Amino acid sequence: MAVKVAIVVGALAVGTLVEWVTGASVPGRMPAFALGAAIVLVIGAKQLGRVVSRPVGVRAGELGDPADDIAPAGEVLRGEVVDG
Amino acid sequence: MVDLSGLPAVHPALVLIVGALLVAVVPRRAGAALTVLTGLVALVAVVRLDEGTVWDLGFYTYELTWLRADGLSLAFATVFALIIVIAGVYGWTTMGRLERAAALATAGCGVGVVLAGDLLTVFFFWEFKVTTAALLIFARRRARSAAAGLRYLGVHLVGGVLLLAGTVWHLIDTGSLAFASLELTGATGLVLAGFLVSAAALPVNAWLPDSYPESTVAGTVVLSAFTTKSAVYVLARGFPGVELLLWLGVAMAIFGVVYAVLEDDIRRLLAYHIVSQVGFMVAAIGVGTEAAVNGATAHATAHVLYKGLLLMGVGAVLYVTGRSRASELGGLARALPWVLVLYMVGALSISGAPLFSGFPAKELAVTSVGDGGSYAAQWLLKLASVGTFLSVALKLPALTWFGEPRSATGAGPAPTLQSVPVTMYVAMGVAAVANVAIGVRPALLYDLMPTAVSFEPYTVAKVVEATMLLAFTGLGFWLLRAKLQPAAKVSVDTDWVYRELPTIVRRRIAERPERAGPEDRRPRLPAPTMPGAPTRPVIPSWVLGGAIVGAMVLVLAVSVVA
Repeated sequence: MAVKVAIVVGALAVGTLVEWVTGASVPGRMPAFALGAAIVLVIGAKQLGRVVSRPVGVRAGELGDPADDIAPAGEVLRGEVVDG
Repeated sequence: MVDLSGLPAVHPALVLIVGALLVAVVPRRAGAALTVLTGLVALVAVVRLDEGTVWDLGFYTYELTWLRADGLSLAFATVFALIIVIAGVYGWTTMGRLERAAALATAGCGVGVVLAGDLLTVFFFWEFKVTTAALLIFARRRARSAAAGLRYLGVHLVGGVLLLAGTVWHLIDTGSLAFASLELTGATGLVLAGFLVSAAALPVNAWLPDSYPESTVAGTVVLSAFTTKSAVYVLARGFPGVELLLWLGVAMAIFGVVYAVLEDDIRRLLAYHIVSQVGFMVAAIGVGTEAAVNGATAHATAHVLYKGLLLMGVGAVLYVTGRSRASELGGLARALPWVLVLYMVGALSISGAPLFSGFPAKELAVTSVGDGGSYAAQWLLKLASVGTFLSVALKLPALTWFGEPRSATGAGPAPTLQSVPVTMYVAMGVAAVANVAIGVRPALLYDLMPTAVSFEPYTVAKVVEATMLLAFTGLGFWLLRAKLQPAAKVSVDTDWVYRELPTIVRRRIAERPERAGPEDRRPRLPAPTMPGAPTRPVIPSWVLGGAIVGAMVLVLAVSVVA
């Protein structure tokens, strides 16, 4: 954990320095924004997933069993096999 | 330069539709070459069109404009013609006759929509495209594809009815069918709603991730290029500056990436990113300035190329392994290294990495949103960009090409059953070169835009900002990679309303205590059979389909002659 914190702090410092040196934008704004956004998106999506995710093949209107998701290569993907 | 001025001008949509008819009857081997040749001829026909060209056609008492070439329509028509050539090469060994014909007809209708100068011509090509696109989904010939194709048809028929109703109402109100920038009224509101259905706008977005991944590997590439991008074109043409579109687009951009982070099926993941990327375009159209419409057009043009490349890459994985779930894949880097390299070109493009096509396109679109005064929307689009890089360029390749091979269903690790055909590599290579060329030399893209572009993407500020966004998203991925492990799950979308709610209602009704005695009950109708069930129709489907299409062509021909 300490290593991760050190890496994050170090990366943010380098990012801020680069933005300050190049005068690209407000120093540190984009590194903090991108890192925060990535964390919010992943954690938010996982929370949403608790509500909307279902095991494969259990939805109403979904045909076949989960194995139907696995298309035998060369059989149903190749038009010539079925469309001779 | 090759001088094409001596060639007679011909409508590019007509070239593609005639090509589709020919491909449907020639032997399969000749069909592959004919598909590519038709695309090339259509591309030449588009290049030959001069800005300002207008072809009118008398239809009863109306003057229809079946071809109008201007900057906006030519930008879309050019990339449409290019992508059908690439898709034809990609599907050289995999596509069947029906699929090729449907692909060319879909391309023809897409080109027809963007070159149409009136709402009735738009409607004609629009509805024809729905039919041929559904054929591309059916072409995979699985029960799941048939069901998804029927749902696709159902949703788009609703969109088509809205479009037609709005068109007729608008005609009654104004006496005009001209398709230009439309003032928002009740009639044009219906037209807008019809367009938004095809743009996969919230909340009618679910048809896209439901249907595209159920098509064949090449069919998905074609679908991704024409349906939503035609919708982006008509929105840019008809409704620039409608503020609703700005926030609708932002919502689409974020919704798409959130669902993509959740998604296990790599083709559905990319389908959700179509919703997200179209959101960028719709948002820019909502701003409506000249620069914003250029941004939406540039983004749509680049998107056709990089999304095509991404779908070709994951299509190659599906072709080789027969699997498209991340929970069933992994460890393919050694077996498919070049597919990974080419895929990553598309992934870096969609992420807006400098030197790739998405950078000049997305920068133009997102900056124009900020310049239009919508800073909140601009930052929300940057948030969506974080999600794009996270799921398309980091999560998907990490789970597909790296790590240990996985097996969620006990079927064993994904086998590599066959090699990737050379033609697939050629098509992906051409698309990759196009993406890099645009990234290195943005003028190739900007010169196609409806109005002159003075935007300079390669400034220190923009390059540093884009690099920071990508680098720190990568850091976030590294920190949270354990949370992104795949699970064999599917996410319920807004299609819950028409896929699950009716079942729940039926179940609730069935669970209610019966009020009437058994003798009073009416005999129940037999349950409808699901698509793919082994029933034998009285009339063969091809006879019925042929008769309906023949009747439609006859009615149209008689109408035109009359």
